[in-house]
Parts: sequence; C-alpha cells; structure tokens
Amino acid sequence: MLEKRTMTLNLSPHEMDVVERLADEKGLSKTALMRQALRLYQSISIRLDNGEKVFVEHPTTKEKAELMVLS
Amino acid sequence: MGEVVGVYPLKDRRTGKEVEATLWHSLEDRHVQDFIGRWKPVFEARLNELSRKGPVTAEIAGEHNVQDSHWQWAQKVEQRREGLEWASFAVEAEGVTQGLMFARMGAFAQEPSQRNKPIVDIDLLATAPWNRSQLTDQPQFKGIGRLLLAAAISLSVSEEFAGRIGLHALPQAETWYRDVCGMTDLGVDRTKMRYFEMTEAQARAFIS
Repeated sequence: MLEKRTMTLNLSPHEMDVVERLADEKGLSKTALMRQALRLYQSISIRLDNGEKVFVEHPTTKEKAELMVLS
Repeated sequence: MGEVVGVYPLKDRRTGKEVEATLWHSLEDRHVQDFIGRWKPVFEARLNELSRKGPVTAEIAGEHNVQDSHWQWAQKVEQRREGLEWASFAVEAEGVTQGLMFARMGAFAQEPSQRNKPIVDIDLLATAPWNRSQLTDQPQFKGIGRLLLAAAISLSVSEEFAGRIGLHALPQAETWYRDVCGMTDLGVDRTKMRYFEMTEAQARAFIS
C-alpha cells in the first residue's frame, strides 16, 4: 500500500451534507469520495490546460454543455 | 516509482512447471522497453507474414491475436505519469515483462444493479505475444490475464469500489471476458467496442 498523509478539511454544513450524501450514494467513505473528486478535478484541469474542451451531453437530445472549471 | 504488489505462481506450459511471477504497481521504463524490444518484433513478424498473403483486416488480426499490436505503451506511460486517475501494473517472470495493464479509477458503472457507482475501468490489458496460443505454437505462461484482472479487482476493493470493474474488449478477447471471467456483456456502445462489467458478486466469484 502506498504511503498516506493526513489532512484536516474544513467544510460548511452544506458542503459536508453534500459530501455525506454523495458518499452514501456511491458507497464510499468520505475519504474515498474526496480522493475520487480530486482525480476528476485533476483530470479536467489537465485537459483544459492542454487546450481541450470538456462537455457533458444530454442522453436523448444530444445537447452539449461545456463544463467550466474555475482556476 | 513502482512497487511490488506480490509474487504469484504461473504455470509454464512448455515445461509444466510453476515459476514465480512478480506483480508491479506502476509501469517502469524496463516494462516499456520490453514491449518495444521484445513484444513488438513478434507482433511485427506476424503482421508482415500476414500482409504478404493480403490485407490484414481487423478480423484476421483477431484470429491471430494481434489486434493490440499498435497500442502505444510508451506514450501512454509518459502522458499518464502525473494523472491521479491512472494506475498501471506489470507482470514479470524470468526477468521479462509478461503482461501490462492500465486502469482508470474515475469511471462510473452502467450495469443496472450498480449504475453510477464508481468502478475501475481497464483501459489496456495485454499479455506478451509468446504467451498467446493463436500467435505461437507453444505458448509459454498461462494466467497472465487472470492475474492482471485480479489486480484490477483488488485495486477496486482498495478504492472502496467493492471489486467492480469495467472494460471495452477487443473482439479477440470478448469470449474470454464473457465466458471465462463471467463479466456481464453490455453490448457494443458508441466506441464500437463491446463493453463488459463485473459486479461485486462476479468479482467475488472470479477471485475465489
């Protein structure tokens, strides 16, 4: 197992509610959820840094919306 | 930097004896060099042999188990080195790379019983050409693919994904994933490849 480091994360009650709800929905601990979120954030950031655009597509209308990430 | 996950027995079909195989987490330069210097010449020799008989269609490449010969392992390793979502594995035996895998930890399941739950998505999985029965008369090691698939399941468990994995299969490997590994076939999707998923229960059955 890779070495792990610990951090304290300060969240608003609303943010914590969202973390807890998503963790419950996905069957993950809060730590695992935050690690997933970090992977996704990094992946999108790398693509945007490379000049790519990231879209989400509606499954039936095929309408696309560009995903914006504030840097 | 790579680390050893474990040492596992592999059967050498040429001698009938078991040898020790080392599973590495994260591909090292030597694994890529083995692909370039040892695997690729075998693929190219077969492709050259086939092309002398006529055009090498995807179907013909599948019959000879060389559909993955164009995979760019060196470029992938370079591009994905810093990406947190990527995990890579290599199997070594007798000092040579016998299998390679890239997996992504950012995908969501599609199979109805686990829809939208996180999964480990296997992006690339390959065994060395001398271990493939359609590519050589006397394939050497058996069990490389199974070991790498078990590594993906283990990664899924350690990431709290309960063993769930998914992958798009090359036509040459569809039967193996469906009939041998017991994965659920979710049909050909927009990638024009057949997509398979393994549920928690299927993962438990696979590794037991």
